Amino acid sequence: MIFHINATMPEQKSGIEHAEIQRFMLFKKNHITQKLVLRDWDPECHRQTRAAGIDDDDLINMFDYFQKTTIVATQLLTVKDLDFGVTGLVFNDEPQNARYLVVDNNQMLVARVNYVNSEKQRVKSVELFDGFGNLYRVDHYDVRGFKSLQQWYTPDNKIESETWLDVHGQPVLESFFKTTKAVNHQSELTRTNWHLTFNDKSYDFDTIEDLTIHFLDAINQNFFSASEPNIFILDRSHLADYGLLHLKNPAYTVLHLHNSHAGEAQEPMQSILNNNYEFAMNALNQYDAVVSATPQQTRDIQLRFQPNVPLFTIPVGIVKDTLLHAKHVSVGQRQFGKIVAFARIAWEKHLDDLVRAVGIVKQEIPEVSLDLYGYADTTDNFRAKRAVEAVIDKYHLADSVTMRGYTTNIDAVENQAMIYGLTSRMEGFNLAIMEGIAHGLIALTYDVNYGPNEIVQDNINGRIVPYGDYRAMADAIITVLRDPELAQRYSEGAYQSAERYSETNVMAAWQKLIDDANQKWQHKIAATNLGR
Amino acid sequence: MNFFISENIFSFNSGTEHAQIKRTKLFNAFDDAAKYVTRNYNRLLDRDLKAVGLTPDVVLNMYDFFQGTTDVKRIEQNLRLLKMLPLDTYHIVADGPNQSFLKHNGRRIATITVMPETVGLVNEVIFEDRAGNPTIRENWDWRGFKSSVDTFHPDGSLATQRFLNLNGEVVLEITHMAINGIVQPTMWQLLNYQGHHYRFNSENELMTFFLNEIVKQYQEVTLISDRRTLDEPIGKVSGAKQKFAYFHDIHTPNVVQPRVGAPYPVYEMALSQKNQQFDAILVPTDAQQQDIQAVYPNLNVKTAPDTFISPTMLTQSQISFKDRVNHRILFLGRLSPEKNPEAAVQVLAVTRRYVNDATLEFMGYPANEEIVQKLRQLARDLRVESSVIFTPYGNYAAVSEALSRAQVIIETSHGEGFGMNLVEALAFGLPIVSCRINYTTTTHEIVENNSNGYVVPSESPNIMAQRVANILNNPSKWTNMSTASYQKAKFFSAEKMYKAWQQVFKN
Repeated sequence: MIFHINATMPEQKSGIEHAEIQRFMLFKKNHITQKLVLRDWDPECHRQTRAAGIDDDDLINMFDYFQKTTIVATQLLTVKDLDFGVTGLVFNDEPQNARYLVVDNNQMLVARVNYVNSEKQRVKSVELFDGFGNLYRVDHYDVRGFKSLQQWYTPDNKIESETWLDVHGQPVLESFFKTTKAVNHQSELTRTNWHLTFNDKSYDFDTIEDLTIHFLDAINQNFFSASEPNIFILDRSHLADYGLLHLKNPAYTVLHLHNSHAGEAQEPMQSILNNNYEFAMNALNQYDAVVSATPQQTRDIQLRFQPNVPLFTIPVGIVKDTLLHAKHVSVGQRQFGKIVAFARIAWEKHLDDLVRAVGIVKQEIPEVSLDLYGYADTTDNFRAKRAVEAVIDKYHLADSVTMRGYTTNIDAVENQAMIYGLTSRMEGFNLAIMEGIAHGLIALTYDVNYGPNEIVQDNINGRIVPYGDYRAMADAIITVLRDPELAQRYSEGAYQSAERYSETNVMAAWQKLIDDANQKWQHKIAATNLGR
Repeated sequence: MNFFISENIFSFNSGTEHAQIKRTKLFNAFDDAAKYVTRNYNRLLDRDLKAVGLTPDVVLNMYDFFQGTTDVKRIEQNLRLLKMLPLDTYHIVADGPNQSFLKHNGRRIATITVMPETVGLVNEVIFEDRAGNPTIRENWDWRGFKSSVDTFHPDGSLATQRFLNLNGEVVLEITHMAINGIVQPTMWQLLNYQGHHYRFNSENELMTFFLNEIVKQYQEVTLISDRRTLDEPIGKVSGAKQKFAYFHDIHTPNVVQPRVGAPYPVYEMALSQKNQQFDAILVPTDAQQQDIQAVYPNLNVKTAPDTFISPTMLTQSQISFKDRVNHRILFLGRLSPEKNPEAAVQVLAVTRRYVNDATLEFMGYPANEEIVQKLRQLARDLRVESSVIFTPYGNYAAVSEALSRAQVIIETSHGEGFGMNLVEALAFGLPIVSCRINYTTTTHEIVENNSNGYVVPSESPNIMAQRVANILNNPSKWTNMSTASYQKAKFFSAEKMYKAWQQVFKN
């Protein structure tokens, strides 16, 4: 059994979730037994995973596991299904606030019922008041229509404990907030404890990480097989980079890097480690395998850490067979001068540099245009977006550069455009530029670690220009736009180079890891009392 | 069906509980089904009811009812055999006979306390966080099942109490929040009771609901409120054939002139004329009946006996003067101010002038430790310290022994609804020396002056002491008085009491 470990599967996915889902679908197509393992509680989890194409059967959420709610038939729960234990209630709908105010015949507030307007007033949460006006609890409902979490309040209105329930409403997992000396402000409450009742046993944990180890141990035992190992692929290190090293029973543990291991990706040998990977990099040899997405990163890790653990290079992007075999669109059929970029408008994406390059190009080739697809990062009051807007003003690009927001309509956009531009400060792989070449877009990128300088092959499917040199980027754009033959050659090269990320090639790369796991399994088993 | 209703059966019961216990036994002995019904949560109830000679089938507790645990046979649940503890993960480390710790790799994660009076049976499992704050406390019933689970506010006070059925499911939940800034229980919720939730703002609201539920289950139900704190919830019950409020005590602080005294506030609901929810007020003595009737002419007030002496006691062999501890005086009753126990020490001090080896035995649970200290100090001041014996309050057997070894019982109380301690003394042939008090000495029923003892003015320990000395120094007088007490005991027969109650129910 292969477990892909992540926190949640939100609607707005980052590259890690996209990569994970692509891998999941690839494995599914290849009939590999697997589960998506999500660690964090999320009442919308099953709606989101179903939307991502993952069956409930293929998903284990840690909270679901303990609540025994992995498989629950969805039913619509509305305010009339709730039982407040009080007679003579009046339900006042407040559509503008998406809630009902429930009052008794003395006009005392009994509850506020918050619902989802667009889903037939499906109940999301209920704020409950006692007969003396105290808010004592807020109940949160799972999207499938059962009460999942109760948050209990102190008399002075702070959350003091959380209780997760089974489908019958009985407590199974509780977490407590207490005052401790570890907190500077005495009045602040800290989560200090998790208490689990599972299969009639009681367990106590200090942290959710300890609880996670217990969970991983449990599924490792549930799916134990003497003939083949459970393979845990950790996609977000904070969830279990320690935990995977402390499982009771043997397993094959995989640290999957989705970003540069170095804090400064352009200085992979010296810079302080990416905080997310600092622990794992220091404990590298305790994992069974490390996966990075590009040969460059694998090489850099080898050079810097000289680990004993096998390093695997496996692309995190997969070009589906259907796309790979789609009809090629020639450059002549595309909109001349149309550049696109699919990225969050965020500091590390450095899109203002791409806009600068377009500004320079426009002075020579007025037809050039740039469409940016992706939601704006809110950090520092939309700092990145403001930087882009400043450059647009400076170069008078209001007619040429457009921020179009997030889209899923990639085929239509990329079959029309001509060039994919990338000027990031750092990357872990960059699925978007891979998608770009698979659609025959000419790829122009900074020489940035990791991914773009591997996906883009200089002078074959586009150009790699020096890191941070937007003038060079402008030159590369001008060169391509002025030479239709060159453009057609790069575009065809792009289509061809996407083959590297074909389902067959990526699966073959994973198969090497799976083979390694299988090969080592009998030795691991032999060193324990299991499997006898 | 008769339901006799009060708060609890305690380890140390007062006269109210004793009267209710005896009445429950009496009715059932005459095949007139009766249950002792209690409101308070008491997970040691099975132990306590057996200690007072009741059987579980004649006791019904509200929490047990909702938890579905009214009929559970006791098992002895050793703390080391708790199935909930994963002993491949945690260690149980003993810390003396009263508690053990649950440890994870050396760190304490829970304290397991031992059930009182047992060896190693589980009482509570109190989990704590890494800073030692209690998180969850699980409470076991005497009968060996997990009965309730408590959680705590950050300041350590109770936050929720969850009551479980035998499957461990929460069926009733109490929430503690603030009313006017003071944290207290604010909500009782029945969860999924016959398919529905019910929310109550007080324990008594829940009590009314509970009583309505049990009244439905039987034909011709009689309810008797034995505690004034329960008059309100019992008053609201509908569907009972008849309802009574039984006054075990004097209803007014003015014990000397009850007709001019205002009633205690807790009696007001039952005595209220306009809000008559009881068919009658029942009192132990005719004197109290007349006093109340005089003040509340529209109220239906009747006399119904408070106690009886069991047939076995009536037929036991008599104990002679010399088979008792020589010159032993007994004080039997709660050690609290209204019982005036200091007077007993003063009586002893004076008595010893005439009977130099007289001793005084206190038997009764102290209302607080301060009272015992005061009594000891008084005994020291009066130089009778070594002649005063404090016997811990005990069960019926222990009480019987105290009554068997004494030669005289004294009653120093300012007032008694009906002195049950003295009725018991009659069964053991004790001469009685009592102050003149309502409503115990208003008739000759218990004490007849100069026959089976003496009635003296309440303000005079000197006179009381002289009477005591007079009895102790005259074995032949003692024998006459003892015989008279044995004779009087026969008037308190079970048949007589049951017939009197039947009469009350009939009218």
